Amino acid sequence: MNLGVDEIEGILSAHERMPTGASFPDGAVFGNWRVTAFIGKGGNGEVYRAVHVAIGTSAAVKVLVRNEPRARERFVREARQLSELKSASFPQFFEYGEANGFFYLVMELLEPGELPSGDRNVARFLRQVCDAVSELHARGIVHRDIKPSNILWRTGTGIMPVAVPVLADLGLVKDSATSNAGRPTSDITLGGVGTPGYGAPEQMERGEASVASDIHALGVLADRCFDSKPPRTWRRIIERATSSIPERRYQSVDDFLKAIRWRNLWRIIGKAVLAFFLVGLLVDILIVVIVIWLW
Amino acid sequence: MADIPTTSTTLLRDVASDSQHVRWTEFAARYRPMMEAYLRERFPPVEADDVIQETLLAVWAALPSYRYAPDEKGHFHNYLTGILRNKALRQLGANRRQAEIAEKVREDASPIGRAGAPRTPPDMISDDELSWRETLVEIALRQLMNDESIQSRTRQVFLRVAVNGEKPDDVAAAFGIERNAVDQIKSRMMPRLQKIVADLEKAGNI
Repeated sequence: MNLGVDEIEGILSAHERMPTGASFPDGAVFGNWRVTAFIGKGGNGEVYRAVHVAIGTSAAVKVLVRNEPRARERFVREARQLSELKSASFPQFFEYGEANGFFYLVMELLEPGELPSGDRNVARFLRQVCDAVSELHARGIVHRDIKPSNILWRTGTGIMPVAVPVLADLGLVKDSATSNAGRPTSDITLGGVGTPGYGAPEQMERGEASVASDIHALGVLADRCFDSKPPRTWRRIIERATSSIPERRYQSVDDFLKAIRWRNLWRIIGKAVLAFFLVGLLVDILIVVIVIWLW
Repeated sequence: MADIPTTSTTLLRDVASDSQHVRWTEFAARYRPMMEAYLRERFPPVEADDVIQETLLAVWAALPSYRYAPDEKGHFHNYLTGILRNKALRQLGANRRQAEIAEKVREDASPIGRAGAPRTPPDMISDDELSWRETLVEIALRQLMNDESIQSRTRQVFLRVAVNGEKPDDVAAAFGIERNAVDQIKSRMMPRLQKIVADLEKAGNI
């Protein structure tokens, strides 16, 4: 059959309007912020692009749509944690409020972007993301939903602006000390919380989220940067990070980063030994030539 | 249209190895609404039920050797849709032949039948095909919109401009991006949609 793009466009043009999934229309107002577009659903609400009604600055407004106690508790926790996280690894927090019975949180509007490719770019990218994850773990928090769509980009300023990755959507973050027992049912999807393909098996099947499950997601992220075809020096790292047995993974983000930093170690040592040998050989040859010449 | 169920690999595995058919009911209930929605416009309920039953039987027989590989072969519902489509087309073909036979019997019986009774319009077959193309595009579109590997904003921009027919300039203003960016999103997403349609079509040729 092989439908062409034109034919598909034709079918789409006759297609009935598809709902965007937004609960609020463009023009809805939350505090001083007027919605201009629905961006998507986050871990714990809906995210909209909005502009300040007086000064026209843009921001992202996340609105809690499910007004039930557990969801509200999570939303407040997300807002509090975002307001406490001052580092550039997270979106900047602006305000938190309530409008017409809906709680909302306003934060920096960031850009979506593509995952980097290439050994060095991926290594730099992962170091930056790991800085953010490390900070959460240091506070006793696990993210539970590390994936490409939760990594947004802040464009730098200056002569050569460089985009920096920012870890967004703290809607599913959880205290890493919390056990499975007594976990609110609103956290449970088909066996767990997180995104299939990124969430660790124990997280998706039994809702057991921990530092190890965040490490698993970081491993999958690394793998995706290489389109699931990582180079040899990364394969061992990714395999270990994404092991189905949590005890076999790196036990901290620092260990994961160390492995990345030293991924090329054996190759470098090999090259150094070879270089040393070659230099030694050249020196020997030079000595022999000089001796023969003097002789 | 009914939501497309997410694949539960545990359920697939259990059903494939389940000699007691304990989880079969769950499996059938999970996918039945989707199949009913596909068949609704083409078959009366009783016939649709027959097609669904045949599809479920075929799936049950094939499951032990089915390997779930979403990156290579697409999600399970693509596989299921392919089987459903073939069963439905076969049923439509059977219905057509029956109608032709009935028409011929009536012609032979009627004194004026041979004088030029109206034939089945030749483009009825292509109407079915067109309807299936629309269904494939619909399924592909929903898959694209649910694809979390694509940034949400990108999906929203595409939805508004390519599906909902909003003006690109208006969409650009709503999202605070350049008009050029909207055009780029549309031209990047259309080939992806085309590929999903092609994969669905390939999955159906089994």
